[in-house]
Amino acid sequence: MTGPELKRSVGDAVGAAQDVARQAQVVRERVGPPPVAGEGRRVRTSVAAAADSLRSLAAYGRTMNPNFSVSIPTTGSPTGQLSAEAHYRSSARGHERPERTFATAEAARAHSREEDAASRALFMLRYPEARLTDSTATRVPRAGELERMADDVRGWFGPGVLGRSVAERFVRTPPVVTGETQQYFRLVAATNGLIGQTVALQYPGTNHIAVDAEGIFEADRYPSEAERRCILAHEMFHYSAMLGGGYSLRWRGPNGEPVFREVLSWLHEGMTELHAQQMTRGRGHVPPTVSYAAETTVSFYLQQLVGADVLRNAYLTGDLSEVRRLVDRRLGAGTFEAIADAGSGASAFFYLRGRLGERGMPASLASWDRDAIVRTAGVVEEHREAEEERRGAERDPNAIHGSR
Amino acid sequence: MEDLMEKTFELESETRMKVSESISKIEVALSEWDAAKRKPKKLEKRIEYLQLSHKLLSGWAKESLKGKKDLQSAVDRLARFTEICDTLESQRAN
Repeated sequence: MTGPELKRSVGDAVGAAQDVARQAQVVRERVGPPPVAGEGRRVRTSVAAAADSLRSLAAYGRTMNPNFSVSIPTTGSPTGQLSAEAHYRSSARGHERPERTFATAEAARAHSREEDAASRALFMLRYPEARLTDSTATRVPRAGELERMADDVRGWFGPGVLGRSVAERFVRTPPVVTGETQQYFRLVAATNGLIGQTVALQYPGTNHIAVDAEGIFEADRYPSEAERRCILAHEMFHYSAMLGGGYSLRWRGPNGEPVFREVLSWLHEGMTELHAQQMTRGRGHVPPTVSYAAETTVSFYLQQLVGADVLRNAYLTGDLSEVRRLVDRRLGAGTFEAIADAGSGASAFFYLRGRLGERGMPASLASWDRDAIVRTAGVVEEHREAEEERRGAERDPNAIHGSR
Repeated sequence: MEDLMEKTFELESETRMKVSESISKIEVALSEWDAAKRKPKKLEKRIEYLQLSHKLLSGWAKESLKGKKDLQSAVDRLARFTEICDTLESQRAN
């Protein structure tokens, strides 16, 4: 080996040794110093203990939820501490099972007694002078008949309606229906922020559906069995949507960003009633009325625009991204968000009809308006009458309208 | 009414106790983590979750101790507590 060759070879060897030393340094930095004995185990144990403690604390917190209202997040978490993305992903998972599950009607009735006590306490907070009698002590007339009808309606829900994933959850923890007294129902409904003559409710976080067994059999309020079946189907759809993640309506914005809206319960109710009506009618029972008339009509229009499968999937999972995309494609960018921002079914109804007219779809609209559910809801008819009255007023501004 | 006030305050006090227990456990875990020479990467997310929990719960506990002692304030604080629980649940799911 010549002198220069030897020099080059030594230089290469030194360079290689330096590379190894540098790499060793990189590895040391990444891996860190050698562990102290038992350190990893101590960290893991203490982290697990803290996580267990938080789990118990959250379970304890959940027991309070029926008593205190919890706000729905508009973006991100209720406290703004979570990213909207994390909240979106967590919502998309839905619920494998309810937080509280009741295997029998008897167990669910015990839950009613708990709810009654909690509602009573809350009611007394607001109205300390009130005198309340025990509403669960009274025997509920026709509760058995109602519960048997519920068994039948429950059988209507299967993979064909709910999709495989939600149907599996539904079968694993089927909804349990109990009949309650009217007094119990009014008290619980009032303290849960439900207004009007509510006749049934599905307790969020549970598989328990409570029905006003006195009210639902009142002939002047609910004259047909079809209505009672539709009410049961409506509540069972609420429950199915809870399992699928449909309680939190949301979508991806134009840049893929998660979007939540605070006031979208009107759309959830509309889609619930639409599916309940279609299911009940499909089974040969034709309800003479439609609840949430404007909301249901808007949902029907959306169903015609995007297709039944897309709307049902969006309803059950809460993810309206595909609905948004298809509505915007047919009616122009921003239409879907304008509907969502309408704030109520009635406002959305007026907006959507106007938009369909602007986009040259009056023929489709006319055919949709002939649907039995839309006609029974009666909103289109009311809308036409109001329009005629408005036109009449424009033609003859001095005419006296209304009662004399 | 007095009975109800008493029950609400009892509930808040019981909640505060449970929250304090959780805070202690979180503090143990965080100090073990801080002192550890090797910090396993796969625990990092859980540590972030514990830090968030600690921040929310200690804020609540302080508010509960120092806040007004009337019935409405106690009810509001309990409502806030359920909200924190919801946040922690949804964060844990991630």
